[in-house]
Amino acid sequence: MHVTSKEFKSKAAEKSQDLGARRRLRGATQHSVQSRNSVVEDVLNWEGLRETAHWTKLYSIEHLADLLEEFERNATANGMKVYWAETEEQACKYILDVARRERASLIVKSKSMVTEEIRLSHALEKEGIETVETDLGEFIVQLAGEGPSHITTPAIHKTREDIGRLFADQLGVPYSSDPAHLTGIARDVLREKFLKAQIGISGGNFAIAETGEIIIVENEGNARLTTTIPRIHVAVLGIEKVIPHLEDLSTFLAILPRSGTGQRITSYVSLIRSPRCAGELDGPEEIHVVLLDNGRSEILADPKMREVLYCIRCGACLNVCPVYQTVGGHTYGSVYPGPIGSAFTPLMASLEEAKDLPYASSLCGRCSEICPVKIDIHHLLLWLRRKSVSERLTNPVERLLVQIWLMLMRSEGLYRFASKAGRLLQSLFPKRNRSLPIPIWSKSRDFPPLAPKTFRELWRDLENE
Amino acid sequence: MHSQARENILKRIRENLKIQATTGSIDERAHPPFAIQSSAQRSEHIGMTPLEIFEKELTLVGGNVKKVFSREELHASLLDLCQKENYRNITLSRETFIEELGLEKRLSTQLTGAKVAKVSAENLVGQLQHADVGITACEFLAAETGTIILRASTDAPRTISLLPRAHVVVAREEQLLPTIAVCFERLQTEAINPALSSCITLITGQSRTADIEKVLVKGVHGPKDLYVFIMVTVK
Repeated sequence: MHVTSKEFKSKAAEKSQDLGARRRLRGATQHSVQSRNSVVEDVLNWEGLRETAHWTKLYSIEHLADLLEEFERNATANGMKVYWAETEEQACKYILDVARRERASLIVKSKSMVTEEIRLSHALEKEGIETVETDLGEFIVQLAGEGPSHITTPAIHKTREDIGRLFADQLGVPYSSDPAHLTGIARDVLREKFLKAQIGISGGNFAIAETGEIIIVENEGNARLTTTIPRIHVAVLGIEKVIPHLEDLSTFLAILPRSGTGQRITSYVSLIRSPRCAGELDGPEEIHVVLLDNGRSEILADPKMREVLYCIRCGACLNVCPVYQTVGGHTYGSVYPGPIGSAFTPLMASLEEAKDLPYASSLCGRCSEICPVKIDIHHLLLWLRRKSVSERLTNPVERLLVQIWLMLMRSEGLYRFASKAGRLLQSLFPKRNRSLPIPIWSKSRDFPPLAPKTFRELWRDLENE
Repeated sequence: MHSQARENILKRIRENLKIQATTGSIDERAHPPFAIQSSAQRSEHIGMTPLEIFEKELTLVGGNVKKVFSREELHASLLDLCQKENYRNITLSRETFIEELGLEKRLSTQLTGAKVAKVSAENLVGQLQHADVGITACEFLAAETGTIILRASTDAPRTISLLPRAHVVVAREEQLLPTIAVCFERLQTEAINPALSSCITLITGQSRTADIEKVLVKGVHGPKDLYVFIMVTVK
């Protein structure tokens, strides 16, 4: 997976200076959290739902091969074509072949993180095939030549004025910053595209093994149009999306909209079973399902990290994360930002390229608390930090400091000596409030001043009184 | 003939899954300790009838619900709606229930100058693009969330509830079930030939987005207005 996460620290330092952007992002994420809370608070059995969702995902991942085979069998019996892609290159090549065979000149896309992961639009545009994002937020960032900055609200970082100016520049319409008006413009522009496109490409929130169905949840209606009007529908899904039964879907339909968009259910849920049946007046004539590995099967090798594959891409962890709220999604340099992204990205790209991401956390645990599938996100980040250290990817000075600390902790004599020395030393830094300058540490933190007397000394004085 | 990629992926999955966690056996982890829970029942629904719940929930998300007690009342209400909203181009599905209700005839005779037609196989998209409203029956209604369940069929294409700017559903009270989970159960146990439907769609309210500064805007790509008429059996 292509990432630019090595730039995380420098980008973060820059972004945290932009107080205006921080305020806006904080406002937007807090609004999302409030909406989420209002539809979760009155559910009598929310914890039961989370537990069920967690166990269903656990079962699905532990039986992944069997479920994928079952899905393939049933989807194929339904008339869909199933293609297995080990890498993003294979996935793009297959889809390009489909497009070439169809002589496609225009493709409409509904929101799909996995298609961003494989950089599908880029591959299609290179072939000269116009590829249009139809989700409003994605449409906006596509016009701006950017990537999405949030899993469920891609243009959360843009003001209405930004978007008004963007539409005026790119679409040649008179400037307006009214959201309803701007949405109306997008509706008309995109309706034209839906009607002309030869291929519709979507993702999929779930794949049901038992019935061979692809499930898409949405609010706008663009996924319904994308998967109904063009002659060919291509659905791209990560292999971790498969769940066993239709019955399981009910649980996820209760938790995903609540966590993702603060709704009890999304406006539309499509259960796509097959291409158009004999006599039906609409629907695609061909459906291709691309099952993408791209590194997911490797994640299974670490039993502790398997949990990261339970993610249903709701984006709730982003909304509550103090780090995300400060630096925003683009800073992570990955299609998958925020807390879950900080665990997923090092596993999908490499720990070396994304080593700063597991450290982009205060370990407050709000992400784990809010995760509807009960992924222990902050502990996964801790586990990755441990791996970072054992693979010697961390700063050698930091490793040295930790070694020194270990030495002090193991030897009482050394510890007491260091404590005395420290107290003596810090009197040399009155201007810094006696905070000792520790390399690296002191760049953004103050070392707490050591107390004038240790506990033992105080106790001894008390005893002597 | 299976591809090499397929074989590689499945092999890698199976081999990597064999690696056990140091705590807990696979059997213990593979069987959930309790039954599937999908109930998102809320405290405020306790004591309400399914019809009351459905009406409350769908209205909350911008849908309109009207109970009618006779065929005549349905005709009158529908006419009223078309006149008030100025629906001049009306498309109806060919579903048996819609035909039995005689809506096409009634609407075309009473709404002078309006275009009233059933979905046509020829240029369906063109027909629906210009339609003000699409009128359909439905498979089920789910009370808990105010959801309408539609099954694509030869009589009711998917786009009739998607392209026009408004969507009207006519349902019978017996089609109202408590939750989506129950609807799924019924869909699976009823002898519905799967080959006859390519897609099942759950609709709850209007097409909407909050992608611009989290400001809610309705009627993005799908219909802006949704009306559900429920024929209540007089007891």
